[in-house]
Amino acid sequence: MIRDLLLGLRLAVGGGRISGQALLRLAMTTLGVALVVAVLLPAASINTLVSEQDAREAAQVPQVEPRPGVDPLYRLDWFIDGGDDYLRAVVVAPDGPNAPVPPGLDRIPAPGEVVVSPAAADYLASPAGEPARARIGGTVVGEVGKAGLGLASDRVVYVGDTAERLKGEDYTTPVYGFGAEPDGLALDITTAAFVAPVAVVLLLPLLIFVTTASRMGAAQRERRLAALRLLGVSGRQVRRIAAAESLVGAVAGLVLGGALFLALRPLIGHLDLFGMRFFPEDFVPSWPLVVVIALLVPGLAVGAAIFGLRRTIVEPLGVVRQGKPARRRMWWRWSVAALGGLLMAGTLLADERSNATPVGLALAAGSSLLLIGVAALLPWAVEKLVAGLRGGTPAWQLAVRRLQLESGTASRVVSGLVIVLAGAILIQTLVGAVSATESEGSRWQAATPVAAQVVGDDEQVDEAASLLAGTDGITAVHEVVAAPLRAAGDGSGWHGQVLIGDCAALASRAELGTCADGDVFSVGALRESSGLAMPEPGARVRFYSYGGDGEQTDGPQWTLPAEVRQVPADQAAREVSSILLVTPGALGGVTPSDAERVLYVTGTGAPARVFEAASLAVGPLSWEVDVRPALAVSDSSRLDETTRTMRGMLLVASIFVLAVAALSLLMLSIEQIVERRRPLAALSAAGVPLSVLARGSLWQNAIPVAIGVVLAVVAGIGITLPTLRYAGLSLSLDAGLIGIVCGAAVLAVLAATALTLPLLRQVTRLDGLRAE
Amino acid sequence: MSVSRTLLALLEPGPRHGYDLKRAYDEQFAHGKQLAYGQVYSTLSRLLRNGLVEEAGVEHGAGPDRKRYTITDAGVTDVETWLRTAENPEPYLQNTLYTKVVLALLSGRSAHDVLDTQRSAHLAVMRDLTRRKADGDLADQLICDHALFHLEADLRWLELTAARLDALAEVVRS
Amino acid sequence: MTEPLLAGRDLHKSFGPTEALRGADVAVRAGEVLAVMGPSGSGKSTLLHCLAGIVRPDSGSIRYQGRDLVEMSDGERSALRRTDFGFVFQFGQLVPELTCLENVALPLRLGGAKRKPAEARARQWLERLEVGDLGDRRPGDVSGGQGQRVAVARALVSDPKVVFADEPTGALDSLNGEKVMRLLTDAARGAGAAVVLVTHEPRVAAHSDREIVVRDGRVKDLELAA
Repeated sequence: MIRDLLLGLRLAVGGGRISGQALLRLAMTTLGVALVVAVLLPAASINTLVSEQDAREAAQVPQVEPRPGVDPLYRLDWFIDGGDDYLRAVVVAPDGPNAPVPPGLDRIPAPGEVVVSPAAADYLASPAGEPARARIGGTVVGEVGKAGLGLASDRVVYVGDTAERLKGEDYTTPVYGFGAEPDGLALDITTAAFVAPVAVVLLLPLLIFVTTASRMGAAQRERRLAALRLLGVSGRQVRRIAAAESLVGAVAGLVLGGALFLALRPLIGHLDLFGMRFFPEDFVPSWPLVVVIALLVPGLAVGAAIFGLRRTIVEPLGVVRQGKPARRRMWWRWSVAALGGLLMAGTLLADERSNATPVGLALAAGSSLLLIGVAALLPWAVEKLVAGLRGGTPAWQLAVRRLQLESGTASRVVSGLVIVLAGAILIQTLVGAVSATESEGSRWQAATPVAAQVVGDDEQVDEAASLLAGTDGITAVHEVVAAPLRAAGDGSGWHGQVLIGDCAALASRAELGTCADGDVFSVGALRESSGLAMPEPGARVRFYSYGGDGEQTDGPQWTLPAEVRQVPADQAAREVSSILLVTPGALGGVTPSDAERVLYVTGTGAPARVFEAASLAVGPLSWEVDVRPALAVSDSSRLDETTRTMRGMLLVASIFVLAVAALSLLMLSIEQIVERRRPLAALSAAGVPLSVLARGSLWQNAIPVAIGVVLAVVAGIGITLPTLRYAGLSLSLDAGLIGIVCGAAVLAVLAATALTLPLLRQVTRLDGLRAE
Repeated sequence: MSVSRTLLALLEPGPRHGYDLKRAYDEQFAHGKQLAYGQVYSTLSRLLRNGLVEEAGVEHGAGPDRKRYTITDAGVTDVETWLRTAENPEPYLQNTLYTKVVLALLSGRSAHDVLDTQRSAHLAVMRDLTRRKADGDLADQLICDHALFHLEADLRWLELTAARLDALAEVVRS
Repeated sequence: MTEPLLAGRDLHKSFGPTEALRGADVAVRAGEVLAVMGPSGSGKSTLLHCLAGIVRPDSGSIRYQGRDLVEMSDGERSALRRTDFGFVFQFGQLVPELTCLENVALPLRLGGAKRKPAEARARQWLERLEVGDLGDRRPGDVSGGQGQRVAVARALVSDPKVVFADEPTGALDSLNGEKVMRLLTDAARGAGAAVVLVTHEPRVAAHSDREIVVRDGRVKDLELAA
């Protein structure tokens, strides 16, 4: 047994007489296995990655129960909105020498001292971080360590302040310690459900690639094995020898893949995934999984080699193929696709947005099954389609006939591409549709749009107003008072908000037309159906307030005037739908019980610049006021970025799979050319131009890819439509992504064909004519 | 197979005694079937009579075996013509052909020419047989094939000999 | 005598250090069957490749219908081979994925003929070579002798002036070889095509009108000298 394996090893690498094709097979197997391993190892690391992050985050949870002998650390969470980006600041002040130190910090920063995470430092050093820097102030004295962060991309800033200043704040909490039990849920189902299909989609074409590679040069190898049989080697031993041969490539691939993983791991720290960056050192594959990979992947390559011999009996006097290859079993292919289709069709019965979990599951399972079904049906589809083709130019005829003879391998190669491309269309379309919905809503803006909102306590708002008033680029600061309001009665009616301000302030929120003190405006709901009806003119309403414990406390009552002007939602800023806009005169002296003063800042120039100017201006007030960009400025671009990231990832995945598919096609072409050496040489001798033969190769590669791309686009849209219908979204295809992938497919086919040209040229020279 | 022409050709390099002649013949061509003295002298006397050889003097203690013979110009022409003429292609030619090739080598003539000439003659006959086969019935075909295979064997032998001429030349001239 | 159809003079060709041809003279007359004989490695095949314009000799001239093949470009020689020459090799020259009929029709299709007329003509040729019933089979499914007949049909389908046959019966038994040779020479003679037949088998060469012998890369063609 061992001797057979050793003999196989010697045959694979021995003697230095290794043939070009065997070398190529070895190289391709190695590359394929290496890529598989390089994809699997990070996937196997996700468990560690998530649990490490979970453990760190659990250790940062503040404990508010007083402990004996421990002084409290006053702590205030301060969310600094920087427009396109944000920062999480924590203002801390110890109330004594024995206060607990937050994880990741050497010591508690003194007043005026700042400790920043690396990502936060980068951000603050960038031009976009200037307003945030102005508001944080102080001097940076240290760096937040890994223990204080969840992800490498976390922007955390610890700001030291005095206990006296913090104590009085509403949202300050005294902390006596840090750390809680980790959730223990290391890898949640959602993550697994997300990772598993991605891994499968990336691995499937790679596995096809490895199988194709390990079967390269089969005829030549079988002849050699037959020679061994003649020397008295048994059939069983021949299989072992074949296995050992592919083991060389597999083990080399394993080593290379591991090296690739280690080499590329530091780069993961720079990789931005939806704005998240991970700690590279957290990517530690769990040992059991490493063992599984180390055994399974080479096993797979070896298995493919043996599987390739399954219908071949290597006899001493040559190779016997046992009859025709088995007929393709169709029933399971149709079953998978039909089941998927049924599940998808079933969701059509459900109401739009009915939020039922089974429907979501059915959509997910249905689309996956349909995808797999499509990929499984592809070889059959190519076969049927190609079987129907007739005529055409000689080059076309050569390609079609060749595919009619054997299209299985080419189709398998393209199957992986179909899954990825269709999946990419599904995901891209969903994300695209969702982002399109988010930016739905009102796009109304005042002539000089509100760029920033400043919120805070009375004292600070006054100070902020005076700071803003003298700032360059800021033209106006409108003050409104926002208060909760509901229909009078038992509290089951309308709940909403009222904005109280002068006409100029209110005009920055909605298209008012004429306005005088004493007017009341009612901004309608965005959708007819959503929410409860706005109070009628003359209706009685009641102000109320929230206590610290979230309980509502009734405030004074107020009666709406007889005339309330209606403003349609699309004539008002997005965040003021279903709201009352009230001039102070209309209140008739009633004072809201829970009022928040808001400053609306407008200015000349781009809203982002005005927001920066406002942030800088109120910098001295630091955490005592909250500065937010107006909604319209920020959210859409944040969402755009997510869409862009998603798109980039889909594109990378598609191109990767396409490249693997192209490589597989290349190997297939090389093998076919080597096999058809003599006829090709004879044709060339008879004056058939090389271009005809090259075009034949081109069509031969192009036809399955074209069928695959068309099928993928159709399937992609097919599985997307029911999902979109259910989600109540409209179809918006990303023509760019599809275009790029289709273009890349064309390029891949051209490249694969072009790379075979030198071989074709060589084969059609004299050598091929020489008798063996 | 012509013994007289062989002896004549063996005389071409220089004068020899009858006894030498017999030894040279046995060495190259006898293959276990030696030439009788009687045949050597009767052949030589016929060659003398036809003017193809002449006596080149007698040594002391003369007996019939002490005579030296040499080839005449007419004799050289006769050898030349004989070597250049293809044998009539028929089965069991090898002895004659072999003799011709060896003699050509011994006399410094082109053995390739001998072989090529013979090949042409053989092929001409084979062409004829092939044509007859195409027109004939099955019996004709079988008969023709028999002849063709024999001729082919000759020709294969010719090819082989041609390929080994250098080796043969060394053996013959040593 | 009349000008030969195809004449190579003083042809030299080396592959690296190996001199395959060192001064070969050969003439092919229109319609004749010329056997090129010689031991293996003598340069027979190289001579055929040179005469057919597959390989460009290092020196010498190859005149065909008033033109010198040596001076023609690669593309011109390809076109000439396509239109004026036909080829039969020892084995494995048929495209395995095309049917026999399509294989035979291929030269006509490459010459720009439409599929239907090309295949009709190909069918006629298959019938002439007594393999009319094999049209729809693939080369892998027919016997060696049948395959060679299909190859002969393909070589002759475009009415070539010269058919180059390199050991056309090398992979066949006597009877099948005999049959293929008779069909090849009869068909070629019927079509008025000359045949350059490379073989080392005398019985195959016996189908020729005339033979030349290549030895150590040299040929003396007496026709040419005359």
